[in-house]
Amino acid sequence: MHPSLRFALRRFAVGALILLAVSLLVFVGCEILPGDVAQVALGQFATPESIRALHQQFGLDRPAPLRYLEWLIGILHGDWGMSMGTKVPVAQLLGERLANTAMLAGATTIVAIPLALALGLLMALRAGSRFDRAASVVVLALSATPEFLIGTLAVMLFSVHLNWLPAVAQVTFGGGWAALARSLLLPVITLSIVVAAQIARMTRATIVNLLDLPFIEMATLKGVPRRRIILVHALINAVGPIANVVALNIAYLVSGIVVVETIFAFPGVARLMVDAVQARDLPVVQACAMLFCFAYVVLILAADLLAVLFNPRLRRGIHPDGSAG
Amino acid sequence: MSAANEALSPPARGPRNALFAVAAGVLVAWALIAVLAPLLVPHDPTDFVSDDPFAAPSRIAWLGTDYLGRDLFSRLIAGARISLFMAFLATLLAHLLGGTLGLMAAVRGGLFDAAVSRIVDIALSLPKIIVGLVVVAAIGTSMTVLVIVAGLVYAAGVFRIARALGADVAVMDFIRAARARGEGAAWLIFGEILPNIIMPLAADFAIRMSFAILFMSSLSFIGLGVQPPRADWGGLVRENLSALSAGSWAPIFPALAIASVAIALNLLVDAIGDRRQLARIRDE
Amino acid sequence: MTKDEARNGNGTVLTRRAFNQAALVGGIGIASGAALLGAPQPARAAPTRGGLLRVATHTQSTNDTFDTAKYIYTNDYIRGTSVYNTLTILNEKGQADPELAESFEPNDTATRWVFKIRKGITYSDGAPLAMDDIVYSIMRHKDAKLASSAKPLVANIKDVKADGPDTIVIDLEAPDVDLPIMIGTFQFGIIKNGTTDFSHPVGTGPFKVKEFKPGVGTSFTRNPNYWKSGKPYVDEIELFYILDPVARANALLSGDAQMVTDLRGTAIDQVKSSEAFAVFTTPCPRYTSIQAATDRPPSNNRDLGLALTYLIDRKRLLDTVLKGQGVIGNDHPIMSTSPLYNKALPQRELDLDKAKYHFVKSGFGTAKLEIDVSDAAPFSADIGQLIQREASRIGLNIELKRDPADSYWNVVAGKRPFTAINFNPRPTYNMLLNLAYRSGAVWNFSHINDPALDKMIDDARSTPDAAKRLEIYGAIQKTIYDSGSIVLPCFLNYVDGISKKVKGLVPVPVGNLSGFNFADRVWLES
Repeated sequence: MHPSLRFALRRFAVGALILLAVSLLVFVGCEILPGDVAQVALGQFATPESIRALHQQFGLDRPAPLRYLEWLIGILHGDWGMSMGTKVPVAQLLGERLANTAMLAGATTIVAIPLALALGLLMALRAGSRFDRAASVVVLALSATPEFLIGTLAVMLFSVHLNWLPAVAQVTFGGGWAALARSLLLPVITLSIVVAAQIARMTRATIVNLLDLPFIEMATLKGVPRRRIILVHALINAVGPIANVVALNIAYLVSGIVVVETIFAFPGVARLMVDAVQARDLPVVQACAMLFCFAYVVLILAADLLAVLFNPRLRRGIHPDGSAG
Repeated sequence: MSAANEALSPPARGPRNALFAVAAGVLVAWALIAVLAPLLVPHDPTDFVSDDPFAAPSRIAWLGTDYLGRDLFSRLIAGARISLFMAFLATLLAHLLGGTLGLMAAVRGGLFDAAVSRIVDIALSLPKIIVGLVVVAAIGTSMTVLVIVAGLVYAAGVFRIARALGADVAVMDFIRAARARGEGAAWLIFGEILPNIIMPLAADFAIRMSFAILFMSSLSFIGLGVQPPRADWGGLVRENLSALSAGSWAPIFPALAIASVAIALNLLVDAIGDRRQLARIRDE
Repeated sequence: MTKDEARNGNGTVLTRRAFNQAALVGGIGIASGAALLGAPQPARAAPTRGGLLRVATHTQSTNDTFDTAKYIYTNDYIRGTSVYNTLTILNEKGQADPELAESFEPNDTATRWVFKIRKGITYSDGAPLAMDDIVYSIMRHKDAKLASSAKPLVANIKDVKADGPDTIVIDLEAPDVDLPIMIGTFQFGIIKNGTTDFSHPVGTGPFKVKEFKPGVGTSFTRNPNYWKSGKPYVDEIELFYILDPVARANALLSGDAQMVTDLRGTAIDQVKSSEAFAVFTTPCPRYTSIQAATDRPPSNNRDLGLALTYLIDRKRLLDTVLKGQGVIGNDHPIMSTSPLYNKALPQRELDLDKAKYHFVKSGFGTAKLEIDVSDAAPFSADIGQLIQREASRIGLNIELKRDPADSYWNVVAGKRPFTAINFNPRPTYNMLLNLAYRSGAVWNFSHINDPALDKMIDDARSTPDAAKRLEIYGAIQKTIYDSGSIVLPCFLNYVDGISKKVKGLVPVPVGNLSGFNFADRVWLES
């Protein structure tokens, strides 16, 4: 078997184990949270007797290990269960949100990543120049600004004052492609700023560091032009580390953008998970956790595979845990 | 890194030293402000100095007032203490836990390494903010809880770096020699390996601390941050966010404070760090 | 208009008179009426048809439902009133106007109410409204297995039955002159007999559901068969959620929503000063209080509670935090604008000397006093901070604890010594007193156990003599005022933001945007 393939297969097996562990962890975590789905569903109106009745309705009167096993067996049959609060199939609930998230994450990736790589490369090419230093400070400042401030400032400028773009990414009800694109613009801009700053910083650092490596020094001493060194030698070696950063940022776009989804009222999966945790709607929480974990495992695997493919040294000796590190 | 390499790199020594001085100066200043905060605040940070929320800067309130009419300058100073202290402790916890486990994994390998690595993968695969949400929902919020949550969340990242750095050193001859002498794992880790990777770990510490400040601001956004009437910088941005529509700069000042610390920490790392090791830290 | 319809027909005259007396008993009617700040509504412009109305609200839950028994959030109420009708509907004075019922009358003792139902009402799918539907829609809340959020409300209902093709008779356990008000609340939306699946709700109301996405939003289209001719005016409604208050205000100002609920802070001023938007405010007896659990130390210490009542600067709360959108309270749940208000009780104010006197008398000393607040009780963190600051001046060491909103009502409220409590307005004060101040009541978060108070609450409901009743309500207020179990600094207006193109909203003092019931009232000026 090709070593890369074997590497990928082993990583998938490990990934499946991680998914299982996460599901158990999330289940136990939700069990120990104060208040359960019945109490939260009744909120301020809860009475002991109505809570008891709802427990029966939701099947919460049965032992927890049994409920977990049932859930697990369901998953293995491809049945994600029903949202306890709304009685909507989890697959349906999650499917719609996931499509939205994929749209936002995809658009942000397309905008932010080329931009970030180009900026990082430019800064690396002119490392130490005035441009580099100015860009570094700007990029650092942006990556250190809370995203809710960036988002709110963007809304105030583009929506409230200039009235160019919608303030909310209300993508649920019709409106056609043009309206959809317009309503996605601000969240994409906000997230692009957050993500691009991060990636540009890493790209610059990675490439500048590679320039210190002996073989690059050798090339420099041989008189190869600096631009060519960066574009040919350094860049190939930088693929691995940069792919890793990009993968982590995409994983973040899938699961970690609760704040941005909240500001733009964007119905994505991150906010769904927060809402589900707050409603103690366990099947939904579980499904979100599985999804996030899966996205993470796949993205990191893809990054590692890229690293292996582009780095001959790694191709020979893949680290036992596959972290290619 | 050798002096010869240094000479070959385009950035000359001068600017780097200047950067170092500026960055260090900013950090020392903030550290002093944090320590001396109670002496520096012109008003009690919880006292109402004005009847107007979001009043413009004046002789009484140098940066204006916040949403309840409290002195923003005093709250910023008091917030420095909370933000920096919490971020520092959280990062320290992350390093103590993640660093120790990471180096142990590097030295011992085998089952221990595999087991802890998988646990870390799990921790990294769950969104940090949701982990924070669940923990706070489970045991309530206090500064201690926030520090522990942030510490644990970031320990996973530290683990990966410490393990990778440690693994590189662990195969070197002097470690083999130490093993041959029959030294224990504790000595190998803290006596032999740690001194060799202390600089990159210090660099990681600095960068991670700036992330920790931002993480806590995200928690503030979803209402799980520091308890009122206290507020860290992120909380100050959050609680005064509505001032923007009134044309007030109230949330901008704490945001600038966060940015100044983050920039200074990163520039410091650039200036002192071993660049080759840094690449690895930043990937994480 | 519903108001005009109420005056139609001879059958309603007697009812309204009977009812007006009832309202005097406990109705939460706001004497001063409410105002549309910044945008005086021109007198009755003719409504225009058509348009898409976009509404953004401040709560969000994956538990969104059309099941009348499962309502707990603003959005449930708004969705409900868009699709279902109730027998009565609350008007600006907080009184019940006829809706599906064209008239209603009590017997002499107010233990039996007879509702005459309008003829020819159909559901949006064309099916006729049957009396069984009404019986089911009310009686289902009594089913313990259903765990209805309205269960405490129907405790006094003995039986509901049809009497002929257009009459409903409701028998009560104990007299209740305010039943028509209660029966007009959201949970009593009329659904088809036997309905258990609410994913595709069908009602007699002004709108049909087009798309329903729990936790995301709902879109509605006009019900062309609606029984009120010419209504609804709007073609479509889109309801969605924006949790962040700053983002919500921005959505209004950028034109992405024509109505948003719950404006706060500077956004109120900003909307007020804008040309195209207005603040729509609804004064009502909604309140957030700090309440002592009187069945445990240290909060059973009356002097400690009384010390807290003198430690809040009510005016600062009203001016700074609420931007004037409220009415100062006097540590009991009845508003100063109500005819029932006890004017003899001195208004409590920030008074460090009195606070110190009670604090010293309480013997509490320098220990830390924890007060639990939460976003679940609006403005409670602000109220807590105001009290905490003043308390530090008399040496009372208060520690605020902000708890997550999700489990707050189950785990914290009333279960720790001092907790923030929030009550949305109930249609009548008596209903509120019964639910929140009677011994052993479900929402008696202070755990007040006072048989004398219980008796007064009962007497207030059944005493026919108006002057005597006023006296009883006065005594109830004094008892709560003196109990040291509650700090009730301010009643909180509902404050919404609307585009000036939105017309027809009237402030109904039980909720945001015409008491969560705007669907057949509003139109969009073209």
